[in-house]
Amino acid sequence: MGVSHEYFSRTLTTCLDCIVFPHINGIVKEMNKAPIVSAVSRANSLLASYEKGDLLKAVSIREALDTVRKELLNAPALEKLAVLTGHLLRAAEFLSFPDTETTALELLREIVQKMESFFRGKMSGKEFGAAVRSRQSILQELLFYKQRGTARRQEQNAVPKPSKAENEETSKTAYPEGYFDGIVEDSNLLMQFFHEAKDHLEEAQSTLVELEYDATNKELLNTIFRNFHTIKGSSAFLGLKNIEELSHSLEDLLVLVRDGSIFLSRELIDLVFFGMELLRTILDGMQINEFKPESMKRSFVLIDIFPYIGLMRRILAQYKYKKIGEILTEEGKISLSDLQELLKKQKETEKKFGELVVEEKIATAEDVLEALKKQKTQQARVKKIGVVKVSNEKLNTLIDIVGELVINQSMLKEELVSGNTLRDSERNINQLEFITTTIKNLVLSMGMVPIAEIFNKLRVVARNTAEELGKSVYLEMRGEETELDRNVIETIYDPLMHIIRNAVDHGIEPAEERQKKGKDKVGRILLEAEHKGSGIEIIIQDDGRGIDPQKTLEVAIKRGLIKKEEAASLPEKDIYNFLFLPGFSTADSVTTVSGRGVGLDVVKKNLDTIHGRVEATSEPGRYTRFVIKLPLTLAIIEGFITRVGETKYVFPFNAIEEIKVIDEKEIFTAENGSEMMIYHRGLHIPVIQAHKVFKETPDAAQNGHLLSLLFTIDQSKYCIVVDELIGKQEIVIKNLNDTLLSDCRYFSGGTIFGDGSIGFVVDMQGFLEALR
Amino acid sequence: MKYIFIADDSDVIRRIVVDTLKLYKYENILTAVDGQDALEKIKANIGKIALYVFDVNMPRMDGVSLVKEVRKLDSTTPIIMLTTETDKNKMLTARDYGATGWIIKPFQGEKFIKIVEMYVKP
Repeated sequence: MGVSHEYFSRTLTTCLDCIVFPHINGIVKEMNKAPIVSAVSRANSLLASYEKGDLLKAVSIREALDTVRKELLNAPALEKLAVLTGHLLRAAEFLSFPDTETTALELLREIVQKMESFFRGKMSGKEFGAAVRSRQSILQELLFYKQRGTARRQEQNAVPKPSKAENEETSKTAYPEGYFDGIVEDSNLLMQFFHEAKDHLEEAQSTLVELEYDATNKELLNTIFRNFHTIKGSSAFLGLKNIEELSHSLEDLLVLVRDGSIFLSRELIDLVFFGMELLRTILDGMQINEFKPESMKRSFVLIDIFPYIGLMRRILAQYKYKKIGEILTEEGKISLSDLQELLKKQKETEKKFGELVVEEKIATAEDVLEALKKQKTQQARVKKIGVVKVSNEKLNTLIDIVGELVINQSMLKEELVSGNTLRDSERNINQLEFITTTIKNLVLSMGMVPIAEIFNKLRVVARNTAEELGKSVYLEMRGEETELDRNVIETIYDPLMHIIRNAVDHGIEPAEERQKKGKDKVGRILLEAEHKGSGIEIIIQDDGRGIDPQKTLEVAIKRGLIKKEEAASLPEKDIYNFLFLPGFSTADSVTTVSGRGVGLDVVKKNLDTIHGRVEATSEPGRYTRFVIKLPLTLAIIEGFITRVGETKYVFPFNAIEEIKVIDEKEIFTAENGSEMMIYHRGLHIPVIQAHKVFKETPDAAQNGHLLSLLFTIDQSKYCIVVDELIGKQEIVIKNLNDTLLSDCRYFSGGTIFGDGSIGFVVDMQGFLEALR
Repeated sequence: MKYIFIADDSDVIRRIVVDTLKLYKYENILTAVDGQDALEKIKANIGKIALYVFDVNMPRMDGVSLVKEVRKLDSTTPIIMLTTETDKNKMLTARDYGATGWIIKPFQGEKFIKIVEMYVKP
């Protein structure tokens, strides 16, 4: 029995986890369980009446358990229980040996009886799982440590030594000696595994094909992960170490993909395909050799899996970061035995490791904090290693243009040395400008992905939502080829999904209502992306019932967001802006799809983080239209440069409403305290000295005038006073994350200006938080 | 390859057992017609036998006593007893002497092989 007990407990645990899944209970209730119940009950009664030494009955018990296993394999979602039954089947073999008979009998009676109760609905999956788990160590000991009778030992001695030729053949392979010794001598079991594994590979293959088009689909990722997980688990039991290691490495990779640490690029997909091909070859080796372990081994050694596993390990090593416990142990804060002890406890309590360490007073809270920080920096480093695909064409252009840059540089140098005319230099500098712009655009485009990636997912969202609500909706897409910064794409998915679900739920009317209104039965949602100026515009428009501005206004007045007398003069565009306020909903009823309260305010918040804007327009009874304006990239923004004290600060241009020169006489102090306000266009607007946040000394006011920028953030207006307004410019944002300033939440980055001076890019949300 | 040792006074049963074994590719078989005969043959082949199959009721020495004698020579090799429904008590004695288990006659050849397979592969 070469399968180590570690594999055993690992795989048994996963198999038990499956039983306690609450949904299994549901499945058990629904399905036709009569054949399973009768098989289990037969095994149970055989076990109850078993007398020690009755070899025939032992055979009958094995047969009965085998029937149970077969029935379970036929039952969807219960295959895992079949694995457990497979163990019981093996345990039943121990009935035929006097020295293990008693242990095996007690164990089997206990577990099979519980199994019957479980299937008869007298026991929950959780209780059953717990009962099996409590017997796990006995089962484990039985299967791995007990010598199965004495005959086995002699038989092993009797196995003829492999001939010399065979010896030479095996010594050439990459597999260590004894690598395949653990393979169980049960052709039936091996065959069963073969079919199971083939099925899983097939499913994995079709899932992988889908993933090629939808690489972040959580459900698909979970499916393929489960496929390899199951193959790994079963192969470990059977001692098929090569299959186990191979599927393990695939599983490890998929965990990282599933957790979002790596993006499943085409290269990775190819790698997974290759791994599956290897697995298939090994499996075919099993079938060709008719599942006879000895001949299987001979074909296994010919398939070297180690180069592949090595490659996978190298890839994984880039993404792995250490666990808290590992860090603490490495630093000598806790001992190895403590670590093991704690890990055991952690399993029982489900507490976080750090909490447990402090609770047990093994390490101080400071130590844990220190370790957490270390882990975080590791994580940050790990996450940065992403892979971006660049087309050959773009790369070639880049190389060409860099070549021109080199020429240009040498020409400029020449001119400097020879002191040539100014006109020549000017020409060269113009050329340099052209080259720089081309490189900038090229490099930026390399980080771009077509928006089709999320548009396709949204199509599914629309379809599923419509199905849920019993409506039919057609999603029309335009401009899917429009490219956007990868980071922007990730952030806009949620807002877009929200708007689309809203449109299907609240916008599109049920079919009968639509017909009555003379509209097409099928609702239409337009999803369009296009370049506009220096950014991208995304339009989501449905042909549903629209939003009534009057109704919106009433709600706004009721909530005290606007005064009744002002409401009349409010332009329609501004009315729809109320929709983006937290907790603002005009929906009469709450449905499962859109829920209550959380809504468009989240949309706005998400877009704010990437300097995007959203606007709504509608015509009641005809359409609702959302327009989202996004910057092309996050690396370059349109900024408004100001000076505060002695430093330059850049404010995001799209948030600025107007420039306002404030007369000191205009300023008054609010009743509740020291807050300064001005009254401007019918609104009270707080005046904020930027100096306070940035801790700079203000200039003395010039002739009693203050320069300020008027911002709209989260529907509130703020006047921010600065010392000097320098002007609008495209700003290249440099990351501040790894610097001393990474804690300053009110900066989204830094930048370097043409004259070499530096400035800080202000994050408006962070700025406001810093005020509070 | 080691032997499977059959001791039974009934020609028919011996025939059935041997034929069944051969059908399943167990080629090395030794047989004995009574307890005494069995003991002598076992003594001559000690270390070369992988499994004993003993009838309980045999002339000259019964199966239970045979178990007791064999266990003095060989303490590990499994011993299967062939018996009838009526001999339950004898079975317990045989177990005490070190028999591995028992099979009640009559039995199906298929099941018999399933038992043998637990101890010896063809």
